[in-house]
Amino acid sequence: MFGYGGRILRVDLSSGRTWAEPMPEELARDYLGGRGVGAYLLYREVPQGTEPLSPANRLYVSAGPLSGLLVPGAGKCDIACKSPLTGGYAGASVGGLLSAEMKCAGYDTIAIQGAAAKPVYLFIDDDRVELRDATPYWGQGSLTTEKALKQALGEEFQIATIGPAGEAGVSFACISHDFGRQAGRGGVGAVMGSKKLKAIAVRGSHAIPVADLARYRELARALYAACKASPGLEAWQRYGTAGVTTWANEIGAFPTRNFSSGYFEGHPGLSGETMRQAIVVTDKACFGCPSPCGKYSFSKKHGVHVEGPEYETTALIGGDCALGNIEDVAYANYLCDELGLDTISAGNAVAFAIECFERGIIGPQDSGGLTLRFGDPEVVFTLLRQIAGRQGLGATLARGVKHAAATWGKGAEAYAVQVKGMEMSGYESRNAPAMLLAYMTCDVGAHHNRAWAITYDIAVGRDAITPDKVARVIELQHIRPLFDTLGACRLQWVELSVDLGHYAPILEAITGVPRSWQDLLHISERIWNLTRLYWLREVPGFGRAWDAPPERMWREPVATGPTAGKQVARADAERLLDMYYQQRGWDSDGRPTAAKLAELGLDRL
Amino acid sequence: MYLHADSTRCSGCRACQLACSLHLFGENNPKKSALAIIPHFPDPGTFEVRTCTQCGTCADVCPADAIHQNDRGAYTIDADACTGCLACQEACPEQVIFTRPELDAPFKCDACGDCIAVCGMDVLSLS
Amino acid sequence: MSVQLIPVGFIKPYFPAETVPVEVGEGKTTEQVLQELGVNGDLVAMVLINGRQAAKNEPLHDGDVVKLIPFVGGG
Repeated sequence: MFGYGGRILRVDLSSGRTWAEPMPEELARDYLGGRGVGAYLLYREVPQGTEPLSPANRLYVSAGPLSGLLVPGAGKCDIACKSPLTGGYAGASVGGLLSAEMKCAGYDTIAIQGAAAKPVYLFIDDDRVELRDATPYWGQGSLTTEKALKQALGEEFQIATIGPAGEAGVSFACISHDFGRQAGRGGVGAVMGSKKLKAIAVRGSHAIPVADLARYRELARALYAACKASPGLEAWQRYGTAGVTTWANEIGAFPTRNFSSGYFEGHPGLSGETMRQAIVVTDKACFGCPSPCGKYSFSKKHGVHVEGPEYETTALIGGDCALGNIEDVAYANYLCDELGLDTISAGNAVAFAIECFERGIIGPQDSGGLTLRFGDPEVVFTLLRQIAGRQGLGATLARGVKHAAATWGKGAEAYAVQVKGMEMSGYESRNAPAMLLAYMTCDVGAHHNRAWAITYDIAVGRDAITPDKVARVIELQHIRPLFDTLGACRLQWVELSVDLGHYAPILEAITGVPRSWQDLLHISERIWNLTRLYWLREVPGFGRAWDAPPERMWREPVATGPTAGKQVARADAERLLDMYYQQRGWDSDGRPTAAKLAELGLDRL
Repeated sequence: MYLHADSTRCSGCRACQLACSLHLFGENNPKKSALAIIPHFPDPGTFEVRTCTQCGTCADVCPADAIHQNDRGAYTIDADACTGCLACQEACPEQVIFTRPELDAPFKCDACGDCIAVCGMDVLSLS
Repeated sequence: MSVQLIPVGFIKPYFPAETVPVEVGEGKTTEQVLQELGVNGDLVAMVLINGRQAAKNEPLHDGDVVKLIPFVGGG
């Protein structure tokens, strides 16, 4: 198949057997690759009721048909499994060069099942596949391990690794790659750790076959020219997502002190320009990307290198924990990267613990005598280490804020800023109802990857609770994850305003399969409904109640800043959901109707 | 005329290597390209770019007289005349003469400039 | 003093021209200038003053070139 690696690599860690099977054409036709293939295989192959950290859970590492081709950001890789954090679908995306390397080795998906008796790493060198002893690396940080494996195997190998947090089964442990990129959310690192799989090392030396070489080269040239002509390119290259920080504060959307406010008075110390001047060393790119958002940095204060902090980390560790010095945020980022923790969930969890301490829900007897307060970097560093080691307060926090709130009681639920068990990411949304709906309905939990709608809220009026806002969220939930399915980055469209019209033609030139953009969106809608079915199957009683916003969003107005006093009434959140289900063709409890499933070809599942 | 590279601006994206392999071989394979991108991570966290300076040393040492300048003034290896001795690769001061198991002769940059079009960071130029 | 505004992307229709010369009192901020032009400042996600990001409430100086960039789609 043109554009594809051509094979699914099956890895059974229990028996130690590995084998390659052809990538089925129907799978490529109906689900494309990346997130689509991961979601489909998860639904089909992991039995209902599987414990996420048991050998029966599977980890699907999937490139897409654009991965490794001459397309901006063609290094995206989807990692799917049943989530130990939420009990539902986890689909995390990592950039870098992993998916490109997999394609050149001839693999579209690496499907990992079972669990090894002792730590191993998966070694892939084109057709040569081995499970090698990883005992010397077990216990080491992700960055340390990647460096060691590159030294041992050669710089050409692309490495994905877990840190101690994944080994320990922390519910929001991540998988790390390329010295600073992560498949962050949903606990994919814990699943890898439960399988005693320390790392994946892959090298591919082959060319990826292309259907229409001349047309592909012509379209690629046009796509790169469009990126380079974008008036926002220079600013984006200079700041990456850190350029969002100042604006988020100006519009009152910056998570501050556990989402009690949307404005952090210390934000100038976290701004993109402050960061650029203080710590940034290199603008670091993913595969094929002309607009590198990676800001590889060195903190003199703490003596560490880190890729970042990008916006989310600045929001959840900076604003949410009230740390106003970018170097402290950079160090916390480094700790999370080395330990293998999702910075979003970790920052949110630390902020949650601090607020619970301030409110007397927990006390010094729980924190081992440590006084938890906002704005104290040492508190943040200590709690991050405790979480990774599952010690002290970390033992409870390691299972996520929803679990911690249930454990601590005393009204803690009101301060757990999560949806479906996943900690909310970097946009305080009490004055952005479309964005709040995006968080409520995202298919992995409270994450902004599937839909980001704040500009729309601002453009049409922030207080409005209207059907067009719902329609916009749904539209974005089809477009944005399509990139995760194709295996390339969405940010050239999102941030540089590169026309979406480039993508269907170049995909066709590569694969030889004629498909319109509408055809692709139809597949994306199919995948959206499939992951919904997965939640319905796996989480007992799953339905409308699981799409509810965090209590804080409707119980409490924003404390300070430009959106002070704002909140989204519970009744308005319900209205948004009603409109959402209706527009999606789901019933009033959020279940896809038979008609919708038939329309998408999911009735045959 | 040769391909200049400002390593301080390189982001490590490898788009240049892809464009190169498409030009030289009509193939989508960054490992089959005529310029080197060397990452230095985690410390200091920079990329090093090595391009052919068209110094002509390869042509000087070639015992088969297989290396001559094209109409852009770039030295190119005539695969038919090449004996595969690899004296050129050994002598190259930039280590930018490359081999592949499936090819009879080594290959190198021919100063086509396709890489420049896909570099978003203004690393590369021809002059 | 005079500054030059350069709107980018979907906010261009809100401005009278591709580049907009503006005469303002010394120390005026981008926020104030946008207000006077009747443009919703919240739509401007990034303000670049002479190529460097600046907050909307920073005072402008004579000759500043102010690029105004909206975010279509966030992270």
